[in-house]
Amino acid sequence: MPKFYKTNKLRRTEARGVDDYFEGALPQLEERARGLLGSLPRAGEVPREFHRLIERCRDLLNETLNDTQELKKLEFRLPELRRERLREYRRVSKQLSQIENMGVAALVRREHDEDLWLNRLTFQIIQEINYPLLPPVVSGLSSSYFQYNFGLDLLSVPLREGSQLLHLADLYHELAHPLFRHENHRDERVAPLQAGLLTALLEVEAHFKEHANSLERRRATLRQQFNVQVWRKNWGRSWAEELFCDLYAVYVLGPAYAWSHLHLCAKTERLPYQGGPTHPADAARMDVLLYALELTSFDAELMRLRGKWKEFLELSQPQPDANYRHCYPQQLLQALAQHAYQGVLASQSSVATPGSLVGFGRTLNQAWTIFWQDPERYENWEKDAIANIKRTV
Amino acid sequence: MSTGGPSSGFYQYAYFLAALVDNVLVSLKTGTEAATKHGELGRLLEALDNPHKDLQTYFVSTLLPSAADIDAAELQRLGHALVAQTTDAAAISLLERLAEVLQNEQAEAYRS
Repeated sequence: MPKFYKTNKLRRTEARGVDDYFEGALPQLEERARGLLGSLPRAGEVPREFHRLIERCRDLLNETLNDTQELKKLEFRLPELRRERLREYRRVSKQLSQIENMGVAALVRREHDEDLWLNRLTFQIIQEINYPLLPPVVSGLSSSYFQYNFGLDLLSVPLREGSQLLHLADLYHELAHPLFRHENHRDERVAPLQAGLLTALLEVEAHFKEHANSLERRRATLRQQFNVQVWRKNWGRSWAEELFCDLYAVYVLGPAYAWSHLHLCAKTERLPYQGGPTHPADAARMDVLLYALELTSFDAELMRLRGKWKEFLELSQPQPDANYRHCYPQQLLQALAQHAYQGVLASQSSVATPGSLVGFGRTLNQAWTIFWQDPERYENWEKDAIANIKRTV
Repeated sequence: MSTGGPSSGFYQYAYFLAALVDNVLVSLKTGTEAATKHGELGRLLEALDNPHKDLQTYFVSTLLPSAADIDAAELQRLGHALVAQTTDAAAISLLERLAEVLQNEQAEAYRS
C-alpha cells in the first residue's frame, strides 16, 4: 500500500468540504467532454482541411477525460494536495472551455465555404513565404480580431475577414507566433528567429537595467522607477515577441503589412503612443515597420507610409506621452528590426523586396496601391481580385 | 494546450511550466513515480547556470528567481536534486513557492 494512504487516512476528512465540491463538479466536466466528443463531425461531413482540427479536438478531449479521472483519484483528496488539485482542475476546465468555444465551434459551424477559402489561402501563403511549419487550421469565428490558439493549432479571424483584403496581412503576423514556441526551438529553420529574439531581449534587459540604475542614482521618484520595471516586464513577456511577429510579417509580405497596421490603428480608440500589457504602443509598432521597409529598400512606399502615418498621428495624438521615448527608445526599435531581419534571412524565409512579390503577397500590396490611387474604384477591384484568387487557390 | 490569454511564447511557456511543477509536486507528495517529469523540470532548472542558452531558459530565468525571490543557485540545486531523485521536504516547499509564482503569472496573463 503506498505510504500516503497510511499516513493521511485521518487528515483526509479535513478536506471534506472541497471534496464535496469536486465530487459534484468533476462528473460535470466529464459529461461535457463526452458530449463534445460525441458532437465532433465525421470526416466526411467537413472538408479535409478541418480533419486535423477534429483530430486535435479529439486528442485534447481524451486528455481532458484522463485528467478528470486523475483528479477523482484518492490521492488527490489528500489535504496537502488541495492547492494542486484546484490548480489542475482550473487548467482542465480552461482547456475544455477553449476546445468547446474555439475548436468544436469552428467544426460544427455549417458555413464552411468561407473558412475553406481562408484555409486554402493560408496554405498558399506558407508556400509563398517558405514558412517552415505546418499551417494552422483557420476559422472565421473569432470574437476579437485575429487570434492564434496553440493547443488547437487554430487561427481564428473575424467572420467577414475573408471577404475583404485589407486586414488579411495580419495572417502573416499570426503565423509568426508559433515560430517562438519552445517545441520548435530545435528546428534549424526556426532557431535563427528565436536566437534573434533572444539577442533582442538581452539588449532590452540591459538597456532597462541601466536606465533603472541611472534613475536610482539621480534619486528619481518612485513612480518613475516603477514605470521602468513595468516596461521591462512588458518588453520581456510580450512586447518584443509582438514586434518580432510584426517584423516577420513585414519582411515576408512587404509594405502591405504596414498599411494594414495603419488601417487597424485608424479604426481603434487606442492612443497610438500608449501600449498595453500584451501589445506595445501602435506608434512603436509602426516605427519598427518603417525601419524594416528601409532595410528592404521599399523607398517609395516608405515615403508614402511616413506621410500618411504623420497625418494620422496629427489627428489622433499629435504629441507622444512624456514617457514614450523612454519606454520605446529608437535605438532599441532599430536593433530589433536588424535582429529580426538577420533571423528571417537565416531561416530561409522569402524576404519581400521591390519587384520580388508574387502570388497573394503581390495582390495584397497591389490592393493598397489601388486603395490610395483610386479609393472609389477599390471596392470593385477587391471583389474581382478575391474572385480571381478563389479560382486559383 | 495554450493559455488562451496572450499569444506570446513567454506566457505559453509559463503555462506549461506551471503544469509541470504541479505534476512533480503531486508525485513527490504522494510518493508516486514520475521520473520523466522530475528529470524534465530538473534539467530546466539546472540550465539556469547559463540563462542565455536559449529563449526558454531565458524565460525561466526572468520568471522564477526574481518573482519568487529565490536565488538562481538555489533553483539549480533543486534541479540537481530532481534529476538525481534526491528531493526532500525543503525541495517540496521550494516547488510550492514556484507553483504560487506561476499561478500569479497565469492570473496576470488572464487579466491582460
